Amino acid sequence: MADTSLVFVLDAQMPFIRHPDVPGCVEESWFFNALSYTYLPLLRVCTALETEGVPFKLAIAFAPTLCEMLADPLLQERYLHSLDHAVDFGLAELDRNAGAPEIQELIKSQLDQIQLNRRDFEDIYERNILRKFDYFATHGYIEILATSATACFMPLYADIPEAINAQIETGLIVYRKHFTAIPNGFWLPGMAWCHGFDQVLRAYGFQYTLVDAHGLLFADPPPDTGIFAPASCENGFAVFGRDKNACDEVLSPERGFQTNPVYLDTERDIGFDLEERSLARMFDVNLGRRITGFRYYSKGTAENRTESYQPVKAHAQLCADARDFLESRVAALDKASKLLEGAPVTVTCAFPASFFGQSWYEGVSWIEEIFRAAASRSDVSFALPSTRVTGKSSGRLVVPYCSSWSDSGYAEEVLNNSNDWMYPYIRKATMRMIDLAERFPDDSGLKERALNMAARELLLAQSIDWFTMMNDRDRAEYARRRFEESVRAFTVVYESLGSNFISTEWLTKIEKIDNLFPEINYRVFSRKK
Amino acid sequence: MENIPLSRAYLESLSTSDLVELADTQGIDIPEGLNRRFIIGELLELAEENLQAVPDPALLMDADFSVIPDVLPETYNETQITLLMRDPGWVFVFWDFHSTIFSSVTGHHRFESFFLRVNSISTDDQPRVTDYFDIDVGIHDRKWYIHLSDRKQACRVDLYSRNTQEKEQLLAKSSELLVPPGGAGDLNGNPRRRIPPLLELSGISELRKQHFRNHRQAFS
Repeated sequence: MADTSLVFVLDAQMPFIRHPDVPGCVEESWFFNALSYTYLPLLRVCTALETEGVPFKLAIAFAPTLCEMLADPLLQERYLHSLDHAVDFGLAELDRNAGAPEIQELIKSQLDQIQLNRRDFEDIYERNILRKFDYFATHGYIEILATSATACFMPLYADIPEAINAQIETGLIVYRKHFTAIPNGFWLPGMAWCHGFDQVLRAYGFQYTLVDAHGLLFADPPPDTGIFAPASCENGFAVFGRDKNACDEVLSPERGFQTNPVYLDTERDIGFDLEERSLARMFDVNLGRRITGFRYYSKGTAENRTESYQPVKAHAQLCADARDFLESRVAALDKASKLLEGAPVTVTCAFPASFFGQSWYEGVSWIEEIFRAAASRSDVSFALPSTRVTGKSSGRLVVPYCSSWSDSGYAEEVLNNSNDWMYPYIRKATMRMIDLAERFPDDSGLKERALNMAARELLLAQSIDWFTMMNDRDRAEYARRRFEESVRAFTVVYESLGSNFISTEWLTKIEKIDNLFPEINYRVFSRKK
Repeated sequence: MENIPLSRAYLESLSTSDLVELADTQGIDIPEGLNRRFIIGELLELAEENLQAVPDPALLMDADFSVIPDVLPETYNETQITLLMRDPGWVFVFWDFHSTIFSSVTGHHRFESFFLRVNSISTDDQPRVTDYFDIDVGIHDRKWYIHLSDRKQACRVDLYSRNTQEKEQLLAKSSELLVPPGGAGDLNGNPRRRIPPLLELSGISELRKQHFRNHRQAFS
């Protein structure tokens, strides 16, 4: 029987958007939505599949910034408050739609979902959902990949190895805090590959990473196996090539599954339509309109966008989409297997986790359905990526091509006219941090605190999110502010170390706001001797 | 001066005349009409030199307040140029000047312009410049996107000034950047060459089309 497998990888990425001094801010609602629509439903799917004995294998790269937010008591508390407000709001919505029984059914369903999330988060997972993901990892269902401390677009720092090392090492510290396993795989933020990364990642003990399809196919020469097996670099480091066509079947904004007219129109949320007074039960409109979760219409067609959402119809469609997706993969695996004359064949699909549940409301159920559908067939199964790495391949060794999984395929989204002003600052701060780590190798006390804070702010400023948000008119101002705040905080420490004076009051305040990576060691920025 | 917590934020809070006075007490000669950000740069540089000249005290002292700058600095007062790769066809460069160098170069009566020299560098055992072209940039420009035509080489961009009589003057060199070759994505390959079936099944033809649409210059 042919050895064929599907590898399914999720990039669980989120910028650090904790604002203790601005309760109810719109940015924190991004985090709450991730919990409500992606991660809690995903855990329910995993639990259901495990309970029913349905085999499933899934890889996830949890961004350390997301891990730190998930573990943060303030955000946990605020999440529960946001759910309580949503219940109040939902009850008022029931009254407001008293004459529309179809809409009322949708409101009741959303209220049930909120209550379920509350129960799961508070009572079942005791506010610690990472522990449950770790449980699935230790039981062999999930493989958790390591990744950088913040989602840094690493090729743009390739000439500053200390910056890459600091990102990896701090990411590993956070990984060890939240998860039990020793990671085999490393997720490159944005899947951004650059020449030489195989050596860097191998030096940290990683066995594999993933690149987008052109990262392998444009290599010169490309691997014999195309994207149907992890390619091997000269040092034995394995590189999976993402099946872009397969992923586009799901993600494409023009023709992806999510575009089907029966699916929920997530953009027609009443948080963007209703008058301020009605929304006040849920949030302060002055802090920004946002998703409430109360959405009543299916996507429809260009001619008809007024049809109310019908969950039964949507469920039937997602089951069909899951079957179609599997059918296409099986066909590709079968063809590849014949061409490779029975050698192991792997198709790798990688997606942003936020797409499932947030962009595509039915997406998490679709994931469940592909596992269920695969379980009912004998010709396809899922595998964890590390089980498909076979060591140094007998095939042709490759030097993967520079690439990323962004639309441009390279770095255009993070380096263009809207965000290129940021590079002089971030590169200068990075060089200064390396200099500080050299100048103060053994310091302790207040100086060590200040240096750790500088390192933390620098890592935050390197996050890809601020650079990509600069392309989005609605989020550019926030991104600019966050980037500048971090660079300024870094600069204050840098200059304070020059003058030998620092305000501990200010330092403590910033430490409380940006409370991630408490175990950080600024010496990760030191030059390797 | 060692007793003053001299930071950019503190200096930004001073008037220009105070800055000139402070620079004078530190023995810095400030040409008339010099932009205040350059004066600040000079003072900070001197403060840094002083810092490096004395051993670091073991302790960082608590101060009543830290001055948080409202804006990021416009310059770091260093003459340097940095090169980043955006995609296989385009690189991005940004540069800055040390105030003294900038004023001495532009203040020279024969000064004509700044320009970037884009060098192709061989990637063999003995790297050497095999070709170059120049791009004139304005006196206030600090960044540029450059299309690379020779993609089998490494690239380095140098910042030069030019005056009407003398030879051009090199001000800064970027680090070298390896320009990725076209590889299998190269559309100039023989169109009749048969694509191996596994690469075809992997989607290489569609990828090439997409990349031609988006990056045709990179693969020309």
